[in-house]
Amino acid sequence: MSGPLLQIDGLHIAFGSRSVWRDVVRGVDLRVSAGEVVGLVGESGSGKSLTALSVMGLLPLGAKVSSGRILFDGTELVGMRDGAMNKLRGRDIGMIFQDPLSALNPAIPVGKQIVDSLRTHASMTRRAAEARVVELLDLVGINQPAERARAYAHELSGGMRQRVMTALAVSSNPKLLIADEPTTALDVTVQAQVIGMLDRIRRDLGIAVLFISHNLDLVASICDRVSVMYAGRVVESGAVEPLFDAPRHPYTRQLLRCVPRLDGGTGPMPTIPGLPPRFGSVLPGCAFTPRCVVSQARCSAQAPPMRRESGHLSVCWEGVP
Amino acid sequence: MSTDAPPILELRQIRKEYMLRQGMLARLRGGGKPFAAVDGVSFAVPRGSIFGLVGESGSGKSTLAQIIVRLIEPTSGTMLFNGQDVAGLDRAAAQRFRRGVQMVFQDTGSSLNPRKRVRRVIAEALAARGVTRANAATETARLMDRVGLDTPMLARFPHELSGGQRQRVGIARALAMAPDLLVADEPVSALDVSLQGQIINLLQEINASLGLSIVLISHDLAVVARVCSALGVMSKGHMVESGPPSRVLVAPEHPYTRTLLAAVPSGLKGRRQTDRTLMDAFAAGDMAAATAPVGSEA
Ligand SMILES: Nc1ncnc2c1ncn2[C@@H]1O[C@H](COP(=O)(O)OP(=O)(O)OP(=O)(O)O)[C@@H](O)[C@H]1O
Ligand SMILES: Nc1ncnc2c1ncn2[C@@H]1O[C@H](COP(=O)(O)OP(=O)(O)O)[C@@H](O)[C@H]1O
Ligand code: SF4
Ligand SMILES: [Mg+2]
Ligand SMILES: [Mg+2]
Repeated sequence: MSGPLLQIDGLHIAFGSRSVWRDVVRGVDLRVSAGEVVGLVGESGSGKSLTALSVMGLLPLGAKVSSGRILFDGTELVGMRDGAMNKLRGRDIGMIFQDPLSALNPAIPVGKQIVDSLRTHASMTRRAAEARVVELLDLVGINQPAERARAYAHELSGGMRQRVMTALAVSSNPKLLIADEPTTALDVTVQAQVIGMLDRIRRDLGIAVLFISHNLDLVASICDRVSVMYAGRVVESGAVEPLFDAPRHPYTRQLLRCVPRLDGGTGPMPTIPGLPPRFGSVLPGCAFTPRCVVSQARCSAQAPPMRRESGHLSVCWEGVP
Repeated sequence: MSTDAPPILELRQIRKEYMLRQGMLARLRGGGKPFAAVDGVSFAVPRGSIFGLVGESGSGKSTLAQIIVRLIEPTSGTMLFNGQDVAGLDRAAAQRFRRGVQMVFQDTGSSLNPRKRVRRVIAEALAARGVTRANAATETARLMDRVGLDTPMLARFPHELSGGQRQRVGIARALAMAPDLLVADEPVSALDVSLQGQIINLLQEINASLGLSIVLISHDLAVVARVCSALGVMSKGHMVESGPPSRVLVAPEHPYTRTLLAAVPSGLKGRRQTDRTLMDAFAAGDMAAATAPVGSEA
């Protein structure tokens, strides 16, 4: 295939009503190639979920893509008609959320929900679909899949629900899976299971994954590339190893210092003082200025330049003469 | 403080049983048998210390927290507060106890009344402690300052605050009662790393300056390692191991503690372990061959 599977260029997303629209996502570029796992990290409110939802055509009421392009497999998704979007969403792009309960129907056994999806999107017979459900539940690591298929969502633990939702999301054999903070509500052992499962799905099914998280260690452990967002913009992106080994953007560096380590010693934890800007009150220059430990006079007034070195991108004034 | 002062809190063989409802779980486990969410747990929290509780989801940490603040009663076992059995307290002493033990929740948002401004939340807590109106204003200002909130925040409603600010309000509300012991159940799990540090530092600072004892429930072992003088590891209702972090997290004795440590994502280091067997084992839900299976419920 030529070109990336997902290509987002200059995406702006605005909230508002009739006359007043405020951009909360302010020019995001993002690429995901077939079979690749790309991480999207940043503090809460930085625009990760909205970016993901815009790909799914599922922006909340009051939000719209105000400019930019979203190409999926070469097809423009911005402005696509609902019917076509629905089809694509069910078949080629799957999504899992932080809260699996919101995506699962409480009144229908989980297996039946996957059967329904298979029959709609893969036009399978009931028999074939039922057999496939057992395979899928097994793939996501559910023991006794045939029995579990008959359970209702509320009868499963958080980790199991996350597995079921993943089985549902990959049932149509999508090319892309968007996982928005899939483990944020889970404890570390269950989190490790879900991450292991995602890794396996990617290897076994070759599905590309857009992995959204504010957990930097998770991103480092399963992603190939990563984009760091701050206040609606990508401030740094690149291959995982160079980016985590030698982060170039001050925000990324400060964020990495905050990650608690088992061997991190005692005393106060490192923090980033202050809060991310509330949207609508963003500076003309770099939005990170008030919290940046290496900010310069020009930072708040002038938008920082975008610099790329062997695929590693950083948007910052630091080191610019 | 003399070293033989009684611990602020001591639990002896605390057990809490629940009857399983007739759901799938009950059927799987063979009828409506009682099951022990907390099964014979004992530990002591020295006065002025921070004690950590870690363990997998459903292991009984929050149940213990609710028992400690007496939101629920244990099925059996003894709880001593300041060396006194709380079961035998008379009315007045029980009231003092309730005020003296306060809780901070994971999601303060849902524990704050959406229609009450911050000012009122704190005023009510102060009134409950018997602070006079005349003193309330200075006391409020002191509390806000202590938790790092500007006074304009007093006029805000909970939904107008960020997650970190809501958590500070929850802590201010608890401190307004002038407690001796604070139970914090996953106080930073819903926050970003950058804010987590701010809140954990606040708890540490309160502990150091007020000598307030804290029970800190967290699933972040690194946080617990950093701030707690001792911790207990919970698994399936049991405290499988306890001691100082320098021992428990460095030379764990129980296989479950080792599983827990192995599950901590290790970032680049983990990625470079070309051997992905651990991930595969996790994917299969097989948490550790060495551990008694943690149950496929996870
Ligand atoms: N009111 C209740 N009725 C029946 N069972 C309960 C009740 N409250 C808790 N349990 C069960 O008791 C066990 C311990 O629950 P608890 O909430 O203490 O876990 P936890 O360690 O805090 O987990 P998490 O890390 O997910 O917060 C679980 O199996 C839970 O389902
Ligand atoms: N339904 C909504 N109404 C108004 N503002 C919203 C809504 N959803 C998100 N926002 C705002 O958009 C910004 C980005 O949100 P989001 O994409 O959810 O962030 P993230 O996923 O990175 O935490 C935030 O400032 C948030 O407050
Ligand atoms: S542009 Fe300036 S303020 Fe922004 S991150 Fe770079 S140095 Fe810091
Ligand atoms: Mg989000
Ligand atoms: Mg709990």
